[in-house]
Amino acid sequence: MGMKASANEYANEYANEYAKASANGGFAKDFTRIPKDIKSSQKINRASLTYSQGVIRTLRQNSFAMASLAFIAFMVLVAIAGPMLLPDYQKQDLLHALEAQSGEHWFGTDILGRDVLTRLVRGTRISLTIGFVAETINLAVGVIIGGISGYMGGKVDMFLMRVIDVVVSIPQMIIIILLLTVLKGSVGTLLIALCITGWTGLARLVRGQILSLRENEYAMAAQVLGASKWRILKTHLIPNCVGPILVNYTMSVPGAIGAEAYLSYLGLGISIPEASWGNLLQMGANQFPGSLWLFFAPAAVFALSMLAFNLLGDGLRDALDPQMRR
Amino acid sequence: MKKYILQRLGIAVVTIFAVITLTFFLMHMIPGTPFTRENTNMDADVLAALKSNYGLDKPLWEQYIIYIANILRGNFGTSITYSNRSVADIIKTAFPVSADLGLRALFIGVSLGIALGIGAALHHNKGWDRFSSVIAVIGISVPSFIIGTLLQAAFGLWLSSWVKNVFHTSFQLFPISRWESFRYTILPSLALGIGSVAIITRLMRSSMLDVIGQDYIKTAKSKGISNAAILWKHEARNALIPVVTVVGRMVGSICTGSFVIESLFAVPGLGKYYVNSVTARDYTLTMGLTIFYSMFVVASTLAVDILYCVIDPRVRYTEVGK
Repeated sequence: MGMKASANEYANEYANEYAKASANGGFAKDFTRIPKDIKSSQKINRASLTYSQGVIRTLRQNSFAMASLAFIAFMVLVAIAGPMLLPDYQKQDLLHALEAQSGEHWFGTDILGRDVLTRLVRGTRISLTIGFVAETINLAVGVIIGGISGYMGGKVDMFLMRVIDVVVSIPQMIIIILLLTVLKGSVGTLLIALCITGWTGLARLVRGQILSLRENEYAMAAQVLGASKWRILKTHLIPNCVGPILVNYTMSVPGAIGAEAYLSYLGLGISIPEASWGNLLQMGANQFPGSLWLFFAPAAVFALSMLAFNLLGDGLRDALDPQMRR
Repeated sequence: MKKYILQRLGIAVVTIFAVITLTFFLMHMIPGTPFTRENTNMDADVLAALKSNYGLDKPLWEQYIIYIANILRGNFGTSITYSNRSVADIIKTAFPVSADLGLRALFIGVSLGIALGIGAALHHNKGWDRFSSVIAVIGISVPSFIIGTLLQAAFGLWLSSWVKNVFHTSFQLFPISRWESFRYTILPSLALGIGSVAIITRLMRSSMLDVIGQDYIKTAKSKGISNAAILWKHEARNALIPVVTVVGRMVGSICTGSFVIESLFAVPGLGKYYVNSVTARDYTLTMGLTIFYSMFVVASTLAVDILYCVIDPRVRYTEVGK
C-alpha cells in the first residue's frame, strides 16, 4: 500500500510541475516532457511463477536433463512392457550358441544360445527394480529417521546420530558381501543388503535440512501464531526438504543399480539363469574379444542408464537451486 | 578438540565391535557345520571330535568371547581352503599387493584429476572444460570393471599382439593378469584409478571456480601479483582443501584393494582372496578378512579426520557441533 501511495503522490507532483512549467512556457520546445504513466509501469505483464513452475521451466531448458529423463522413461517402459513381448529369456538353443547379431537375434546369442536382446530386456526389469525399490525403501526410512532426529532433538537426536555414525563407518560393500554369503543371491537378498546401510545418507540430509529450516523466520512465525509441531512439520518443513531429497534419490538409484552390477559381476549377486545387467556383463566379459556384442550390448545400456540418472540429478540440482536459475 | 577426538575414537571402537559381532553371528546363522558341507554321512564320533577340536561344542556366547579374545591377540584363525595357512599369514602377503595397487591408482587419480580440474576451471565453459567434463562423466557412469575389460582388450590383446607381430618377439607389452613387474601394474592401476580421476576432477573444478570468485583473488590481482603466482599460491592451494579431504577418506578403502579389479586382473591382493573365500565358502577366511578390512578402513578414516582437525582449525568448530 505504502508503495502505491507514494507512486501516486509522485505522479501528482510530477503532473503539477509539468502544468506549471508549460504555463510559464518554460521547457525548450524540442524537448517536451511527457508525463510518465506511473500506474502502467507498475503493472506486471507476465503471470508470476510459483517455485515449482520455475523449477520445471529451468529443467525443461536443460536439454541434457530432458534427454536423460526421456531415456529413463524409455528404460522404465522397456522394463515393464519388454518382458511381455520377449518372455523366453531362459530358452536355450545350443545349435546357435555365440552367434553374431542377425535379423533373428538383434544382439546375437550367448554361450547357451539364449537371445541376448531378450535377456537384456529381462535384465533391465531386474536391475531397475532393484534400483528403484531399494532406494524407495531407503528414502522412506531415511526421511522418517532423519525427520524424527531433526525434530525431536535432544537425547533422541544424539542416539540416532551415533547409530548413523557407526553404520556409516562400516564399509558398505563388506556388509553386502557378508549377507550374500549367508543368504542366497536373489533379488530379495540384494534389496535387504542395499537397504541395511543405504538409508544413512538421506537421514543425515533430512535432519540437517530440518535443523536449518526450523530456525527460519516463517517456521518461528507459525510457532508464534500457535501452530502445532506436526502442522509446522507438514506444511513448512517437509515441502522445503523435497528438493534436496529428490536430487539425492535421483543420484542414489544409479548407485544401487551399480552395486547390483558389481556384485553380480563378481558372481555374488543375481545368478544365472535369472538375468540382470551385472550377470550379463560378467558373461559378456568372459567371452569378450571373441563376441563383441555379448559385452557391448549390456555395457552400453548400463553405462547410458548410469549417465542418464547422473545427468538428470545434476539438472534437478541446478533447477532447484535459485542461485543457478536464470 | 580433545572432545572431538575422543568422540571419534569412541565411534571407531563401537564400529569395529559391531562388525565383529555382526560377522560372528551371521556366520553362525549358516545351517550345518563347516565339516558336513561335502561329506554328509560323517561319523558322529568324528564330527564330535572335530567340533571339540575347533571349540565348536561350546555354547555360542563362550565361542564369541574366545573369538574376540583371539582377534585382539591378532589371531584370525586358519583358512579352510588354503590348508595350513593362517588368515593373518594371508593378510601379510596379500595386503602389501593391494596397498601397492591402491596407491598407484590413487596417484593416477590425484595427479590427473587435479590437472584436469585446474584446466577446466581456468578455461571455464571452453574446450578444456568440456573435455574434462566428458572424462568426468564417463568415469562416473562407466564402472571400473567395464573400463578394465576394455583396457584388457585394447592394450593387453590388440596392442600387445600387434607389438609381437611387428617386432617378432614373444614379449607381452601389457600383461593382463598377475602382479609381477611394472608392466603388470599399469592396466589394473589405470582401471582402478579412472573412477577417482572423475571424482577429483569434478571436485577440483568446482572448488577452483569457487576460489576464483573470491575477493582475495581480486585483491591479489589489484596488487599486481603475477598470474602464475596467483594461480599456484592462492587459487590452487586453497582449492585443494576440499579435495584433500575427499582423497584422505579414499585412502582407506582404496588401499585394501578393489574386489572387482583384483579378480579381473588376477592380482593376488586382499580383494581377490576375499571374493574367492566367499565363493569357496571359506568362512574363517571371510570372517578374518572382513574384520581386518573394516578395522583398516575405520582406522585410516579416523587418522585422516584427526589429522585434519589438527591442520585445519575450521573443522573443529563445524564438526563437533554435528
